[in-house]
Amino acid sequence: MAINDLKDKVCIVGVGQSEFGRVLDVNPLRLQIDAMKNAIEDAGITKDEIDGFVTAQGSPRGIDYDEFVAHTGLKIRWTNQFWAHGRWGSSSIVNAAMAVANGLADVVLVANTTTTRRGYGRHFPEAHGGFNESLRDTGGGHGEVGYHGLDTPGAATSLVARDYMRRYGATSEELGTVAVTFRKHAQLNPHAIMFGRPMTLDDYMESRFISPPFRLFDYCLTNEGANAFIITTPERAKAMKKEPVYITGIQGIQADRDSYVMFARPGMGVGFQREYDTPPPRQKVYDMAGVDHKDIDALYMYDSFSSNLWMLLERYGFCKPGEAHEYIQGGRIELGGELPVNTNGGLMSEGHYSGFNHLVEATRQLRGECGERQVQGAKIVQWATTYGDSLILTKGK
Amino acid sequence: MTTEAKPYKQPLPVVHPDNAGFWAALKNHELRLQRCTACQTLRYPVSPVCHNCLSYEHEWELLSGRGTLGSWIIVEQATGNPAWQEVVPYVVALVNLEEGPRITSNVVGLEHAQFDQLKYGMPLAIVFDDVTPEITLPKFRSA
Repeated sequence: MAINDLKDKVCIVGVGQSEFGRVLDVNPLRLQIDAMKNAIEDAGITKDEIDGFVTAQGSPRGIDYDEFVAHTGLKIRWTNQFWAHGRWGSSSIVNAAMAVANGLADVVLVANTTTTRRGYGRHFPEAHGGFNESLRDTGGGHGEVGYHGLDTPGAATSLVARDYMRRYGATSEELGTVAVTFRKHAQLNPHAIMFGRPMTLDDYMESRFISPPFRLFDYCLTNEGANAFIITTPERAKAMKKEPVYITGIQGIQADRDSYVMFARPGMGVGFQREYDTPPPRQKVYDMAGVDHKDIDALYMYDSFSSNLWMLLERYGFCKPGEAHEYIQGGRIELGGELPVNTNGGLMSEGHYSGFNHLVEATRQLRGECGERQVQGAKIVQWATTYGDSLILTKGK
Repeated sequence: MTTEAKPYKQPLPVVHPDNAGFWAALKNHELRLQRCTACQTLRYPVSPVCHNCLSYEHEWELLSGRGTLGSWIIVEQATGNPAWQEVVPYVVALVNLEEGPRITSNVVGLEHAQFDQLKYGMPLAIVFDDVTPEITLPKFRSA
């Protein structure tokens, strides 16, 4: 079986979310059940039809598959469990798709929950036995080195943003376009945490420095909430309520010493990477989907930090190395622009749900359910992270 | 650099048998990394295995402690471990070692008002910071 055999063989038939908020102080188990119930309702199925389950355990603590099944009475014949990190969002969906395509399960629930230490997470011990990723010999999952005071993903990523600005002459105002655009999108999304709180470029420029060039608003939110999906085959989808959204292109995490650090694209020369300016090879996700960059009606990306968008546009070939800071100006990434990005408000303004919220938004956009923020005529959308994992989703045929 | 009298509150590295050679050398005020004795690759990060040839064999090679400044940041607000907030602002830097590897470290010896002296590519030399009786952290200063 070749990867392209998976093209359009599996679809998303239901999406659901819990309440979103900075501190909800609700058990993450309940949040995940809320999201599941909403996804079940959206798909028009009963919980007994679900026979597969994938979860990316939330942060700092999510819900293990077995405790979730025990609490909810699900009867599962196939399951898998990923870790909390944005790069596991598409991986969870793809894993479910592979299981469905190969008959390991018929209808798979994918769910992820985020809680915070300020909220319900304070009742739980640290995830992963209290082990601090930043103290690994390789550094943390984003290049952190805790004993040198580089113990947050944001500080690590600011090393990348700073060097990009030096190399290519990018400005703080150009970086501000990312946060300001996503905040603008959130004003059209009542579910977004930053709904009703518009922000101008002046507001952005006046916000305090955390780790320059990063200001407060270059960081995503921290928050609580859950997202869920129902995944099945197009044949089974016919008996369900909503128009299916097809999984048309897939590309996995690109993990090697040139990729795996600080949300940088290869070639930035941070962490273990070599430094170079060569444009990346054409990304396989486009070949599998049979589409080109110009066909993408909306782009959804892991915006934990603002500079991730520059890295991502250059990594996937929307523009050449060093061009992204200019490429995103002039309304190009806004609703109504050539390439609307994160129409939900992103991790920065809708909320940090590891990108699972972006995948919910992408599904709703393809169904035409997004009201004021609808991308008119959306048929092909892409999800991507700077780690190289990507999905292309397309409208039901 | 001498150990300060007050207790060190910031996080310390996790020392275990496979990385103990690195930390033992630092305690002796030497920067050593592993040189693969099978394929001669200089290994970084410290690892039980060569990322080029997968050999476990290595020697702890003494390095010059010289390098140049790559990207750096000035942490104004430390949002992770609260102990770091007690020492802001401080400099975190990527240091391109003369022998090749790029390591994450700190540039020390500059007052806040002197941070604008930091320039990409500037020469750096190692400083051994004895933060506890057991642990010495490799840091850098302008050379």
